[in-house]
Amino acid sequence: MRNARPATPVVIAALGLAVGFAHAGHAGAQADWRAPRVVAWECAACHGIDGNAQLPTMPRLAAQKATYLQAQIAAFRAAPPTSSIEIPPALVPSPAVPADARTGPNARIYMIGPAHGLTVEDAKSASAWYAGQKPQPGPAGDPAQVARGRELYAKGLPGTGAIACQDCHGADSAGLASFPRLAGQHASYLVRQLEAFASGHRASGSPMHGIARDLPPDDVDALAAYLQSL
Amino acid sequence: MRTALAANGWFATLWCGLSVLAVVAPNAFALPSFARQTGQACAACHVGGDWPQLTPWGRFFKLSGYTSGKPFADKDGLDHLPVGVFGQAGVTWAAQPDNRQGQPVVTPNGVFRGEQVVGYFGGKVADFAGVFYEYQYGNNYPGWSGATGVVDARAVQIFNPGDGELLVGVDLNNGPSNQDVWNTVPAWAYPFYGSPIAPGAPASTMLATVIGQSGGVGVYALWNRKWYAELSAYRVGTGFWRWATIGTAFGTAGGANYLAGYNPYWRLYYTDDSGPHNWMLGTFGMAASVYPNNLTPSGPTDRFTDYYVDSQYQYLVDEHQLTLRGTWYYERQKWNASYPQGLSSIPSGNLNGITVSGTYGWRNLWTFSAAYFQSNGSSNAALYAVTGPTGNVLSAAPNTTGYTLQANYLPTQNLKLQLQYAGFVKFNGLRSNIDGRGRSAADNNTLWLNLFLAL
Repeated sequence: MRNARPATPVVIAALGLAVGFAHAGHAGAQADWRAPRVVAWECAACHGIDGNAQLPTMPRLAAQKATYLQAQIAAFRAAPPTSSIEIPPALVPSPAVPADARTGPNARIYMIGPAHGLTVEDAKSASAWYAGQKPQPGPAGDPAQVARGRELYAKGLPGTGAIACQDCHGADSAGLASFPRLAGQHASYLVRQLEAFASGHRASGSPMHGIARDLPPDDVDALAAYLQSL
Repeated sequence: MRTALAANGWFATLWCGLSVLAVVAPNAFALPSFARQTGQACAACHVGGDWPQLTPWGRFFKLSGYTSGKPFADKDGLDHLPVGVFGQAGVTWAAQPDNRQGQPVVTPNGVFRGEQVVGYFGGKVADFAGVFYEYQYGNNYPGWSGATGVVDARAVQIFNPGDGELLVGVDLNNGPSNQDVWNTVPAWAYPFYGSPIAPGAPASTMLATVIGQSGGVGVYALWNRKWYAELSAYRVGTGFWRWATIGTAFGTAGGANYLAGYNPYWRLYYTDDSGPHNWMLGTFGMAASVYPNNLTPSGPTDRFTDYYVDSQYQYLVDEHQLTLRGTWYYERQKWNASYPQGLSSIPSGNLNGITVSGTYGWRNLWTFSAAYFQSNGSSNAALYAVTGPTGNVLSAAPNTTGYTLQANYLPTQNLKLQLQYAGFVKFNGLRSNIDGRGRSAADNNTLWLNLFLAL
């Protein structure tokens, strides 16, 4: 009666492999055991253990400024926690929503819940970890678009409120002080953030609102393509 | 009928209770267990929140063993409940609920009934492993009974050779394609849910048939979240596997398909994404040896080899979500055991088909879907014969063609109202007279209104 065996060799082999995995590495199924527990459990699946997020909807965090990361986690925490069963559209600005909260629909779907589960220490250690990671270069973009983006980055859009990006983000776009690093960031993420600044869903970062509103869509795409290629 | 009535009364009470809780205390019940674990909204993993369709992140969450987020318990005690409940109730109207002779074909027609209650465990059980286990208590019209739903347990590890990412996993599940992350495979294919009493296509591949009746173990690898390869082996869900095949009647003649030995299943796909676009092209299949009689699992077997090609495209932005899916399959059948016994009219044959479907979602509130499917195969009178009043064979082909139209409304993330129209152009190789007594294929068309509640 082969079907009456309590466990088959294949099952035993599988369980053996599972036990092997248990001894192979650390939390969150990640190989880098030096990462803080919060990174492995809360951040890594989307942003990568080394901050080089593979999914283009998720921002890359490698070598990002720690002060900026902490400020963003605080901005997610400032938004009211997403109710368990409501549909998360963008929050409408209201007295109940703090001015510095991040309230866009993706913030509400992905980040506000996990951010509310973090302690201040978690936020600090995760930010420090990602600030110390080595960024991978992004994919090269369309040469004409990249050239236009480079020009915009260095000079801004003369005659408008869109000042030169490098004034705040640095000539190498690696970020300055609390201004975030942009080099190598996913283009689609950058475009979405400029849209969020323009619409007010990213309420903090005040210089960005006017800049984002003054940039035509083609120039937004060019800037994003240039920054992603770095 | 006493049992049915009692069960319906019990169901109604539970349903009302759950509904009241959902409305009165939305924050007391966080969303089903995965949302409690990750702190994210349903829509993070499910397209527009309309489960079970998966987003790129949802697919990775499953492949990484459901390990993202917090463990349900740690040294400080219980963090969240890793279990959940899912209830379903609805009503079906058939174009012609009775046949031309006045006997019911679709029953109970036009009556609102509880359909099923599902309890499940879903969550990480270790830093490197997670489990999804469903137990369904479903309406059999009449009577209720329990059975396992989807079972999927995994252990994974991620390595970073060079600048790449290699995810390696081992998986235990109770049916080929239950472990898959695409909504183009039989276990997770559109329309995801259908009326439990509506007529269905008369033939399906062996791969699809043994879902829930078998036990499988596999290893898989995901390279840079683009290339995926898997090799699994399935055996009959008896003995050790009984915990994953509860409700399957292995001891009843015709109650199950009895796989002989271990049967290989393979999966390979490539996926890529750019901004809001993502797409996949893949193939999977299974070579299965099956005893013709599940009560006497010995001797010669029939042989089925299933080849599938599937593809999906998704466009996901904040307010709009579009998914297009296509699945093509070809099954080679060798009736080595059934043919000599007269259980098949032909020594060998095939079954093939195609399904295309699309879903548009708006603001995580509404989804609208449409699908067309076609299934064709060798004529086999022993399996598919439709005879007229004089015993004349009108058709022996399984060929069935149809379509579905569907609108879903999700006023909250855990409540779904679904209206589905399932239409048939051809049934059992015939457009009209599909039962030899005057019933047409379109008489099997149904409209199904359904309410889901997940807690």
